[in-house]
Amino acid sequence: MSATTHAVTPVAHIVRDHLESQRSFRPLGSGTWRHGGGPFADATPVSVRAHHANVVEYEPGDLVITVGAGMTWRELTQVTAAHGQMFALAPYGSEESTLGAMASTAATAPLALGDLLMRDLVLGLEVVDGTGEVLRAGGRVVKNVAGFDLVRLFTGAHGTLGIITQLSLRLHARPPHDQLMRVTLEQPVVNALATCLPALIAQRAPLPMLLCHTPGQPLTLWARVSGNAARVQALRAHLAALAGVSPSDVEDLGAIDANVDANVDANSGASGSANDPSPLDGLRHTPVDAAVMRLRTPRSDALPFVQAVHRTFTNASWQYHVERGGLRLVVPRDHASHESLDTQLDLLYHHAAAQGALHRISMAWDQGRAVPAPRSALDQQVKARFDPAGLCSPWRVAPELLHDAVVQTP
Amino acid sequence: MRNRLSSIVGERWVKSRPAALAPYDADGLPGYHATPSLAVFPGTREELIAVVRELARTGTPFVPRGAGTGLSGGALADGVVLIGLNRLTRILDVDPVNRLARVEPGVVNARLSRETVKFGLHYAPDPSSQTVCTIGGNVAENAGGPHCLKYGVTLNHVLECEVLLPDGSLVRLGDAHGESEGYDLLGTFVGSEGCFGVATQVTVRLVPLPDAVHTLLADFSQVTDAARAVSRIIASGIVPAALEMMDNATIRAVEASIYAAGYPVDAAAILLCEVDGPDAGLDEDVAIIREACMANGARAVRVATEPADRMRLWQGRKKAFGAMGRIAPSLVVQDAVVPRTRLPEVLERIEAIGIRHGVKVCNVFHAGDGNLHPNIPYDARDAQQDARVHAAMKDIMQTCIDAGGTITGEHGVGLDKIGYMDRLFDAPTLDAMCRLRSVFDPDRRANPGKVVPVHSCREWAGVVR
Ligand SMILES: Cc1cc2nc3c(=O)[nH]c(=O)nc-3n(C[C@H](O)[C@H](O)[C@H](O)COP(=O)(O)OP(=O)(O)OC[C@H]3O[C@@H](n4cnc5c(N)ncnc54)[C@H](O)[C@@H]3O)c2cc1C
Repeated sequence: MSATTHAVTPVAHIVRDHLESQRSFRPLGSGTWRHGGGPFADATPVSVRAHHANVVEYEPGDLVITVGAGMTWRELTQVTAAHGQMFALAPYGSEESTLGAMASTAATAPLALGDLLMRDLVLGLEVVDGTGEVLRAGGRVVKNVAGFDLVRLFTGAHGTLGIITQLSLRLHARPPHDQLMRVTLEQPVVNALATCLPALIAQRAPLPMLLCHTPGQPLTLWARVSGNAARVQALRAHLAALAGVSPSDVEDLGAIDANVDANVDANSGASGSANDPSPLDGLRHTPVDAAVMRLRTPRSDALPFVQAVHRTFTNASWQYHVERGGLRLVVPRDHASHESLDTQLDLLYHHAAAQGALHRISMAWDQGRAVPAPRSALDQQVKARFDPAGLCSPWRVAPELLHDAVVQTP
Repeated sequence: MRNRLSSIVGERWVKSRPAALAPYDADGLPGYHATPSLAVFPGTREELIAVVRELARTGTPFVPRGAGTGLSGGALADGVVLIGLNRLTRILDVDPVNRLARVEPGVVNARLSRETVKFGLHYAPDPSSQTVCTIGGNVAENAGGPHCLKYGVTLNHVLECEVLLPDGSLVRLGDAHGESEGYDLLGTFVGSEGCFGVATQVTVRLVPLPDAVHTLLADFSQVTDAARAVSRIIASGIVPAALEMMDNATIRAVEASIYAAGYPVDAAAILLCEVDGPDAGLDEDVAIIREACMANGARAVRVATEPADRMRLWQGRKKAFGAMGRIAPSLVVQDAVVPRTRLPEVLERIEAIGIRHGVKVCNVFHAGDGNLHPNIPYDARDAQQDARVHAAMKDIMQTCIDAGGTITGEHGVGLDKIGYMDRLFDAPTLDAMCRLRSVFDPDRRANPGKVVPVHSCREWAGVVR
């Protein structure tokens, strides 16, 4: 961001106070996901939302917006919808999530437009680092390679290197159609997996898709279908073919941002009710005390891997992202004690290997377990350079890969 | 040092005579020359590791170099050791099911796509230099290219890198099978311009070839009309695969060269716009883009669907720099980005700057991203001309900064743009960049003196040796 802005932000004052008195602190957004990556050491929450929740600059023609990090996703969406624009992803947690927290946690999202990740959408950041300096990294243009990439460093750092106070985000024009579609696979889950998954893996169309399971229910296949009318129709037929059903069996759940349209108030940017259902709601379910894990394997191992997850975690819900080979696993509280999870994870590796997954399975915890320490010497160096006093979000460090083993066929 | 390096790579692959070093004294950017103390060309990963370890042992600074097409002076080695990576050209694995390729850093960009087409896949980032530039150089520069508008830049296609740190240790950054957890060190390494270490192996994502591709050529009698059409197309919700602009000076240079593509030589500007994907719906996209161009003053819009016609249109664009090279002996290829809505105004200012300094500016650029390439053909041997060109470039860069833009979108800062860094970033931010660099290279031995002005590194002020 431009060298001409030198204002010290309110949050910088608070951080500097803490550094002076050697008290630890951690950023707080809307507080919708306090458990994420926790638990934490004692640290004063510093409210970003209270100080930095405004639109700083928005030129719709540039498809870039600069906002305070305390602005919520819902507020952002209301401002951009008034101009026929959108932010490409909506977080798993709540629509009240702040954008600062979404950047800080590199939030994953169900069915982002174009399969974009948070890391692809943050163009610039203002950050108060752990030394109390205000840094203005990146910029407000979509392409930028000037200097070393501090934006990437702070995105996904879980607030351990500093507090994000402002962001420039890349927006997209809303395509003529942008629908959520769903197919229910009526066979028993194991059969449905065996027939559907290989087809999904082999498909080449640009179709963000999730294969979803909730205990006791049939598998569902969800897709975000966008573009002009002709393309949407063709992609719908493609989706039906992948699932082995007829196009009329594909449910159209409506426009992705249907609930936003109804509540546009561009002037205040703050209207709208959190109770309006979004078609994405069916994919958002994160009970507070559940364990939430992200597991990954090569796509080529999709079938044995997903089968093994299904066989092992009988009480869990999961969502498998076909293109990225990532699976989000939500294990309910009664089944989520550390010991039972460890046993189940061992079993998962065993089942996966027995069914032919020869490659790596790696996992990270989103919620439900303390994450102990930075995982590499370089990570530790980064922490030391940006938070030398170790006061910034102590104990809450970048999730380490707990299981990163090679699975062998027995 | 020569002997020690020779014992690793063989006598033949260490060059130290001035004549042998001459080919490595520039990277295509006129006005900048620097001769390495010696140049070493490892032939295997193991040799590369041994070379860097030897340099670490003796505390010797070095500069990694791919094809030397960086255009910002980044691959110049001034009295230090140059490590040429262009013998490391193996494509180690292609995994069509997982759509990945693992390659050595010296693999030429275009070859990777050529060799994966048989699987129905390709490597999407396509710098205009793709027939010569290397994947290692692309990673170091976070290179872009015309098709990055839809498909993303190098960073979006690199999943994992094996990196040899300047102290000789090897680390793996990123993960071939998904977004990795922890600090995004791969994201910070990509685009670090050789200052964080040497990429020894790179795992990239391969993308399925689209089912169908349509390329449009729209011609305009006003440059600003073409710039407005760009905004209109982007606002329609269509994401074109590419959206490129060329001004009249560039069109004429191309049409007078062997790369003539049939562009209208009397047009003030042309737009080259491509849409691709599943067949269904492409005609509708083409109709909307045509309409956006016509509504903004286009004289005509031509659509090419046959591969040969499309190739010809693209050939003119991709070889435009080469064609400009015929106008004068030297060519400055610049690279800056402005917000898309500021394009019309910035293009007008650039024209005025050219007139003021008496230089000819040719524009050919990635309009969809606002990524400008104002280029000036001139004679670098004429000191007066050289001074005028540099003065014009300074004004152009300042204009882009003032418009809320940045000084480089894909070629990097290197040596050429280091002087603009403190106009773009404040002192604490530059210092933070230095801190990040020191994580990878605490002694500043990798590509010394590039990217961030050294006076910005407060932390080092006390420890500089
Ligand atoms: C005609 C022409 C057109 C161009 N068009 C484009 C374009 O459309 N888009 C675009 O982005 N660029 C373009 N470029 C610029 C250039 O091709 C890119 O910057 C390319 O990525 C450089 O690759 P290279 O192998 O030549 O790298 P070099 O020039 O050899 O090196 C560039 C930098 O990378 C470092 N480096 C090289 N290899 C490694 C490695 N393995 N590990 C660590 N550091 C390394 C060097 O030290 C140096 O700092 C163009 C250049 C030309 C001449």
